Amino acid sequence: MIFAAVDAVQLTVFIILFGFVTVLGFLAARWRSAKKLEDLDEWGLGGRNFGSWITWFLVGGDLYTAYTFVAVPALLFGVGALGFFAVPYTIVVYPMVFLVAPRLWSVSHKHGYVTPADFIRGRFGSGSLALMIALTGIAATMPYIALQLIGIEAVLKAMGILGHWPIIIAFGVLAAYTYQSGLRAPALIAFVKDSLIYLVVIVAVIYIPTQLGGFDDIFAAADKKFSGTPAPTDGVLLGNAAILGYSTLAFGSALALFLYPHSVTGVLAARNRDTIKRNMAALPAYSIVLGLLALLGYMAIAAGIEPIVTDGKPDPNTIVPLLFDDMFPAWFAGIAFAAIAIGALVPAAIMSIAAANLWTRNIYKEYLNRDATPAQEARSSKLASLVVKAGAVVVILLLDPQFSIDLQLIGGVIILQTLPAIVLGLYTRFYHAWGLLAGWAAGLAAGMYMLYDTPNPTTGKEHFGGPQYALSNFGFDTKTTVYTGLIALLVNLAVSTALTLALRAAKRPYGPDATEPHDYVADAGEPGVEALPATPEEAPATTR
Amino acid sequence: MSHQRFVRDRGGPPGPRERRWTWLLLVPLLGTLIPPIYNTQDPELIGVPFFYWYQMIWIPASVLITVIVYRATRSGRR
Repeated sequence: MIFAAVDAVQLTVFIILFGFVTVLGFLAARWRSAKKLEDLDEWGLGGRNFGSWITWFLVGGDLYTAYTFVAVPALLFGVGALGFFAVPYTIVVYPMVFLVAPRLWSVSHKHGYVTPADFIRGRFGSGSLALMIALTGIAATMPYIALQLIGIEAVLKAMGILGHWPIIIAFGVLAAYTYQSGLRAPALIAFVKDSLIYLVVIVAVIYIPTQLGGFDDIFAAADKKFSGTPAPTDGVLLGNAAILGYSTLAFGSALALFLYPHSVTGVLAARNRDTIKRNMAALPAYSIVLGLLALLGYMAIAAGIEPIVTDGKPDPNTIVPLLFDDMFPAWFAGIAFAAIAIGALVPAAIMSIAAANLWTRNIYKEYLNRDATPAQEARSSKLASLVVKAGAVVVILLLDPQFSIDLQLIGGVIILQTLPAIVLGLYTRFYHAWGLLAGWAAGLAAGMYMLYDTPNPTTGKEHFGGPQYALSNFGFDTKTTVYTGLIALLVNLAVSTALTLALRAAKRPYGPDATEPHDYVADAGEPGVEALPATPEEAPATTR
Repeated sequence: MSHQRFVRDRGGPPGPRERRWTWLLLVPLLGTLIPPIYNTQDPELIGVPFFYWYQMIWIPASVLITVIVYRATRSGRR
């Protein structure tokens, strides 16, 4: 371990806040809990009884991760306007989810589904399709958890703490209280995380520009940097070749976001349909924070921040922590760093719970122990959540961090391939399970090939150079690029539809459908959907 | 248009009239996913190019639209 000029005040503030959320994490087991955490609805979905406020903090804490807060400004720092795609991405996602998520909530409550793969099992009567959905979800989630570690690591680097041991401690603590408290731990900690993040961002976007001569000077500095580089794709505005790439990346990422198992977990934990709808209207508040944070990338340019170089490679993820370190007094920088680090714990906990639920419901119960009791299910999930987090730590320790970023890139593309089964499945039984399976495989293969076939001239990588695929590869005479995941999704849809039509023509029978049309619009309190205890809605007092 | 139009019987799925409102949800997509609309430097707002503040304005705008659709289609239960 090496301490290079660690600031004592900064470190103390950081450790106090970190210690506080650790205590909260353990206490969460007793928060709003009527029963023991001995079944999966309690441990893995917080009793399926979160009201609007808690859901807002939980899903917000889930989607806007530490990595987002570190990587989006880093992207603007590196390439400019293209990095701002995160804003339209998090604008368009909610109107779309507004329509789809209540249907998933209803059918899941009616039938006791815990994971998206549970729904597929019931809807299409196909074990293999459900297994593929579950494995895709786990594969896409794992690198996402590892990325949260990279977010913490960036903060620690900026504080001057090097080495891997602090991350092992942080994740050990996280694993312990997630094991004990389940989804209630991140739900409770999310309140602290978001309060700190809002505080830091508001202070940062008001205070830092006054120190740098206002937004005029900040954007002028960014413009000067980008006009000095040979790359045609960077700049304060989008180049012509980047326009389609920008909008397809925003749209495709929005389609993918709520297919991730951890997003589904947040949605299913809500109390009723209106809770979800209200949240889709209220969650964009986080997008304002994200948009303001993104501009920190340009402020870092104007402030002359240079990323920390580790092993000869500059780490752009360190620019936001470095900017805070540079601009703020030590105690406030400590708060800002704690906000980012705690911001990594919340999504990491939810993601590991979601991955563990997939394992338990769709692999353990389906193939290993068909007669598992609710208590056995909960125990299996708790143990799996430990394995998932240990796996993420091992990935970070043993592999190049760049590898998890590549995996995350792949993760977005592959999770998108579950869209036809899950989203279209919520509306129609037109598709045959085999058609969906073939489409999934084709989309996956096409996506992987295109990612492999994408070089990145800026970093000198030959493969997995980014999520943009050049249309010139299809013989078009243009520099325009398109989001790889969206092309793969089109392949997927084409194959699913074609094969389904062929199977229908051949009169191949469909698997049994356990759901009925009304299941998709059923609300809490209706027959078959557990009536939930009346507690004062809306008031923040529900956090009691 | 009066507020009464939003009020419906308790429970049950939205009817065709309510479902019409959901088309409004397309508006934020059209507003933000066509970059040629906003890929310009001017007009600036407190030194921020149009590209950035235009997209930021769509955040409250999409909230407003989602709230309108929510109020028009909610199940009526309180």
